Amino acid sequence: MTRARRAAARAKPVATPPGLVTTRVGPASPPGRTPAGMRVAMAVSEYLIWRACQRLPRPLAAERLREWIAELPAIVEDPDTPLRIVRMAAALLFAADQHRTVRRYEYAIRYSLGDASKDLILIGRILRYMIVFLGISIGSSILGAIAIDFLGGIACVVGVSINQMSGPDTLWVVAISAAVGGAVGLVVGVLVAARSTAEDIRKRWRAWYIAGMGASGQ
Amino acid sequence: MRLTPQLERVLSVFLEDPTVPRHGYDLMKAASLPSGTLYPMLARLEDEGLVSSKWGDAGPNGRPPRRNYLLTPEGARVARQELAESSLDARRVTLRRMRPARGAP
Repeated sequence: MTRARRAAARAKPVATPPGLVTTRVGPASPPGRTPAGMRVAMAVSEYLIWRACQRLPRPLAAERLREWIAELPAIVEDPDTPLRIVRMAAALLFAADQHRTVRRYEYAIRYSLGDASKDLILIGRILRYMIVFLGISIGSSILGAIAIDFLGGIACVVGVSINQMSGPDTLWVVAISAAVGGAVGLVVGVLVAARSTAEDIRKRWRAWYIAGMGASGQ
Repeated sequence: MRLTPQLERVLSVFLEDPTVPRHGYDLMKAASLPSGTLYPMLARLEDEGLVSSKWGDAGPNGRPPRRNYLLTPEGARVARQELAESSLDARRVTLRRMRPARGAP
């Protein structure tokens, strides 16, 4: 019994009849005669569906798992599709598409645009302050700090824009663009630092410290 | 209810015989829709009370019971109305395209 079937068998909502425990995968042939390819396709399909259902709210997950897994035998035994390989592919496609859709919905719910924007703005601010701090620490001039800050800011703006344009599935684009922006900023900072002396850095820190004291009124 | 081409196909399949319950896979085949499009649509229709579902009996060879979907009477009424309006709109668009532009020779 596969993992998906065990989960389906354990989850027994009141309104749904039991049944998956006794399910046999594959066409109407004696047990053990199901072709290996078909068994693999079914196992992969069931796994994909099981994974998809794990992302759904619990009561809904049990019901959907039962429903979608119950469709698989019908797909692999579909009399309208004569080729076994096509039936196998259809079962895999069915499961893969359910998996894809559930993931898309999950992201859409978890990262609704409002929340995503708030998170990203916060990440962007933290990143910018970190980059400014790096620039002030290792840069020999204010120009270096501004350049690094600017790059970090651009990375965040690009990330947020791509995310908003492309939908909720592209959060990784934000992470990559922020990371690339940060890395570029770091390289620029290191290059600037390599051309500066210890005295320059000390002066820079001192100026920053004095400016901070002035701003706080002390 | 916003009538998309996909929804139109599903409703047409249901309306072929509104008394016959349909399985998800049968609907997928008949409406030529992928599972990821069909099932969210069915869930939405069920939430709106246009479609009802119930579990069938266990199939032969120990097959698990499958879920059947059926248009509710209200669903059948709305589906017919929506499809009729859609067809009327399509006809209007076709007529507008066929009509020569004002001032044309």
